[in-house]
Amino acid sequence: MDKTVSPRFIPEELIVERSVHQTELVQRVLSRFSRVPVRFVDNAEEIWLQAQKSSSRDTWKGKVLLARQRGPFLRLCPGTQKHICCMYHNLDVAAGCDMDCSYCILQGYLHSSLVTWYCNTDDLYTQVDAELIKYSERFYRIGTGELSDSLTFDPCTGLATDLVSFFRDKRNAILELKSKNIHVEDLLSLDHGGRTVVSWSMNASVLRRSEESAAPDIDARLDAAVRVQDAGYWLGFHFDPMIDYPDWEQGYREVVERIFSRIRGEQIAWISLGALRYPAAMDELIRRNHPKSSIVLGELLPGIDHKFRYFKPIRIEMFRRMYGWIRNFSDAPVVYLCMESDEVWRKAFGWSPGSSARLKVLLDDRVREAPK
Amino acid sequence: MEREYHLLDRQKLDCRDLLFYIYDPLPRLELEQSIRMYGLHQPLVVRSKGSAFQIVSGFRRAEVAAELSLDVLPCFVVDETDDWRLFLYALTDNLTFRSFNPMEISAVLEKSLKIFQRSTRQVLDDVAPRLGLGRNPRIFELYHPLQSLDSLWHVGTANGTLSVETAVQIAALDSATQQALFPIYDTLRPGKNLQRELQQLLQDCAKIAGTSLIELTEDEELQRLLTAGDFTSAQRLERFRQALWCRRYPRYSRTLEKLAAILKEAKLPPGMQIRETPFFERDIYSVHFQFRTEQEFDVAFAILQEMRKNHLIKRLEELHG
Repeated sequence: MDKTVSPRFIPEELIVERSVHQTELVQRVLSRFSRVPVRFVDNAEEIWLQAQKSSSRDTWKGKVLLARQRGPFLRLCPGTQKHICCMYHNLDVAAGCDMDCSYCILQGYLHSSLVTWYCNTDDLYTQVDAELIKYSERFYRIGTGELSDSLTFDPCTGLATDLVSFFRDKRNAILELKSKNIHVEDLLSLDHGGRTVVSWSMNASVLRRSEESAAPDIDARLDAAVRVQDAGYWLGFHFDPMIDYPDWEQGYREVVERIFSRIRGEQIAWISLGALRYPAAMDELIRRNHPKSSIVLGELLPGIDHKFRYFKPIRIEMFRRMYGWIRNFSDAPVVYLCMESDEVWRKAFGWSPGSSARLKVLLDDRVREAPK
Repeated sequence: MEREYHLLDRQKLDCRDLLFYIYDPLPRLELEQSIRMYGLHQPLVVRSKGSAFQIVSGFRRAEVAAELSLDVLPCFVVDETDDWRLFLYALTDNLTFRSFNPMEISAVLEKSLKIFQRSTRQVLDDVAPRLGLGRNPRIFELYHPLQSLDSLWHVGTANGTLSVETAVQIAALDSATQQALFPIYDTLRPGKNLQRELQQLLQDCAKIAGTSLIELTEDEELQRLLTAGDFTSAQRLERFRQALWCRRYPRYSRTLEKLAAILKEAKLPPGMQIRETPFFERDIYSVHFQFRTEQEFDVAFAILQEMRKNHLIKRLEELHG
């Protein structure tokens, strides 16, 4: 059993856009990294452009851009065509990650290793408040783990902890911090009001070693989850992407067993399952950026949404088995599929929410109250 | 650049000095034919070198002239000491009457970087436009690796039979592997749109089987498909591709085989088809048939009912997992 613990991220260079220099977040980062070289730029877009044109991804490794978020912080997850979607909202507080997993979709979106932290957090809070007040009858599940990892930079920015406090009193929203990392110390003493789900992306141990080598191992993630459980948070687990490899049954079953040997099912809000999938252009990027990875050798074929997915019977079998193993331990968490069709739901689980709206209700209802 | 026109004795040209030579594997048939019929109209560019002359531009013309025993050649003699400037001049001179093929472009990039020791920025600014290319750093990824291509592949790459992208993929392999792959391409002659797929399939199948590409090329089934005499070249290519698909996508291929078996059992008449959705991604089949009369309609309908009675519809359903 390996016990790799991810070291804390330390930037090699901070590039600050002048318009956010005086914000609380930038000042906090600068005080935490007083020895790290700082460069100021008038317009962050120059840096994004340079990073995009860069011939090597590594040119920007360790560099962090502290910039103003140009677009809305909060946006509905685009989902994918003709599939059941959980209708999640993404809160884009950062873009980029330091863990460089072989399957990561960010390779296709961001083109470089540059990390951006959006620092105009006053705008963030204003936008979220405005949305939650305007649509007070709606319930929002909001996560920061779409374009980055929710916890990996928290020792640098403290933003995740700020957000936990911000969401504490929200009656019609819950925050999800989705991570592979283990930096939970600052969360433990917070008054979270049951309005935050701390969730971990999980995978079979052998895949952690080959495809997520810079991320903490599964047991370290579980250690962190136990601490968060003790602090009374909702927990979540995401088996996404599940990867088809010769011993996948044993690999994934072991992880499910390890989760339920240490975590109470009643405190798990949800467990999502999703099979490896990516847009066609990602195939070449994975081959180029991760030549030792064999994930592209799976039976991945173009789906209805033109993304490459495992041949459907393979996905169904993986989901069916996982659902059975999870339900052997607990009926409490909502187990759901990410970006799958009604047919796959029915064949894998024996039932289907039938629509994105119905799935949303199931997930919302699970976390309307604090965990018992 | 100063230049003077002269008619020079061919023997005075130093054909062994290859400083400005740009490698091109293509045969010179057209050039030879043109010079034979119309003579040498485009003067060579040369530089004085002691009592002889160093060729700057026109190596192929000089070679053809030698083959045709032309003793006197029209030449521009340039007075320039800077080799790099002269190399650029040679490129411009060539580009005025022809375009460069991928092997030549690769050779120019190699020469610029290694012989003339130019930086990539200088090559982009000074050389790329003279090759008819944009100033995009990707030209290094796209053409320079062709230097590692085994000579077997040079002509196909230069004449455009092999796409540059595929040639670069092949160039990344060791020489023995490149040589082992050559008979496959030479026999199957896939079009450019299939080359990339074929190469990816070969590489993936080798990885999945845990063998080298060389071992894969020696595989009995694949060798048989390459050498069997009773296929047209299009059939041979399709069968070879199918054989690779079966290894690359075994479960999908088995499902396709099961579908084919079910449809064979159904004995559908010509004009009647049952179709699955691409890659079985949706659990839907569609039935197509044509009819002119009630009787023909009843026949088609009876076939479908027979399929249901024989549990073939159920078996179609089961293909979706």
